[in-house]
Amino acid sequence: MPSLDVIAQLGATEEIGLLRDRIATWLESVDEDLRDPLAWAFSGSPKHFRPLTLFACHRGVHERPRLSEAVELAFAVELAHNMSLIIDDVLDESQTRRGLATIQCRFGRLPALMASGYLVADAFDAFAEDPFAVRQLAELLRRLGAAECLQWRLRRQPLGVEDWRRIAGEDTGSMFETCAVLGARSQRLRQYGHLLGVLYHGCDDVADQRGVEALGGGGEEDIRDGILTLPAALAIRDPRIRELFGRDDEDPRRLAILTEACREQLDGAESVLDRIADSARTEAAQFAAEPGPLIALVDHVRLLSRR
Amino acid sequence: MCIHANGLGCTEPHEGLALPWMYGYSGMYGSEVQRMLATSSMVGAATAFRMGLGYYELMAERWPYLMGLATEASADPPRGGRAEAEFRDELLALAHESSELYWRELRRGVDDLDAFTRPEEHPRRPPRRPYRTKP
Repeated sequence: MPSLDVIAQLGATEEIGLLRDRIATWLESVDEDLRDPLAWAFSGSPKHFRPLTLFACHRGVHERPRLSEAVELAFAVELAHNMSLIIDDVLDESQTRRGLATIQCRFGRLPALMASGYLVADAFDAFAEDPFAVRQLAELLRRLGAAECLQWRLRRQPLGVEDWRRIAGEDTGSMFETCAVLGARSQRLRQYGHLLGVLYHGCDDVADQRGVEALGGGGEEDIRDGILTLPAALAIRDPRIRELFGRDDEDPRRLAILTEACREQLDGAESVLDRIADSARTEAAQFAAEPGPLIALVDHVRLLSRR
Repeated sequence: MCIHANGLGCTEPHEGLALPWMYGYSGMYGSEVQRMLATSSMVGAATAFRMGLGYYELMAERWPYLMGLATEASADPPRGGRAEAEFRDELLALAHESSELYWRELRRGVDDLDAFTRPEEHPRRPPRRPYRTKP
């Protein structure tokens, strides 16, 4: 979770406070049958990186930021993001999320799936008077759905770093892109959002491999399932590792070799992430009137892989 | 003589909904168009220069390593196989970053052209509608 210092450094203390208030008010108004699962979805320690991106892009472009408008947009983005987390947990049959039991573990599969639908409906409802935002959210949901299928289809394939970038760009990148477009209310910072999302995804991959739980963990599961993470994309350049990566079994020896091979690629992965971070900073410097918070956000996300 | 929004002309000097200040018209359409054309040529040339320079820097940085990998790829496996996979990654990365560079410089060029050709905003008087009395 970003510390209060980081939120303050980005000048988003007030916005994040208002966003939390907005979520709390919304939770009071939701249907009684789904209130507990929905409240559970927002408990734990949300990292708020997506709203922070939206707020930073809003302030990076607008001379006079419109706080209430930005908070409402961030609220809808948080609903959509939490929907995607619930679906991920159902598909992966995950036991925990942010240090707590997942919704389907605590309440069951039916409430989890229905809560995810409820979140999408209310996200669109929050944008009801804003056709621009409706289109962005619709595009995001289409891309997220396709990205999940793409990632699953490309499992255990002998691919490379650029293929990883494509997957990361459609998965996490699309969410951050939407935040940047909604925050700036134009396409001006779309590429910045895309790069920030790819960077976040890559830092997540590397942190998982280092065994860092702060971003959600899951490195061993990724290797077992043949998911193309950034360290895996580098490791499978070795034909011997590539052959092992392509197999579909739970042989502990094979998994141990793959884990070790991925660990050996952490420095190379950090170099790839440095290049992506540099591109994101260049985008911010060229296309934001006030790039300071955008660059600070890149710097902070970049640190996530090292924690 | 100024031209009103309704298309009628008048000779009296006054402020109103007239074309000159609405569009920043200098009085000589031709000279303004020429200035914009000259600006777009300058911006286009600067953009092309930046793209070329950026591409040169990118190639200077990546090409020697890429060639090294190409040589190494001809070696026996497993070294050759590894170099081949890395070569593909590096080649695609070079293509990807070139396209990013071009796209960024083109957008920057459009921004510059917009900024250099935008008409100055003149302080306007509050809108005023003259009284009209129907006969």
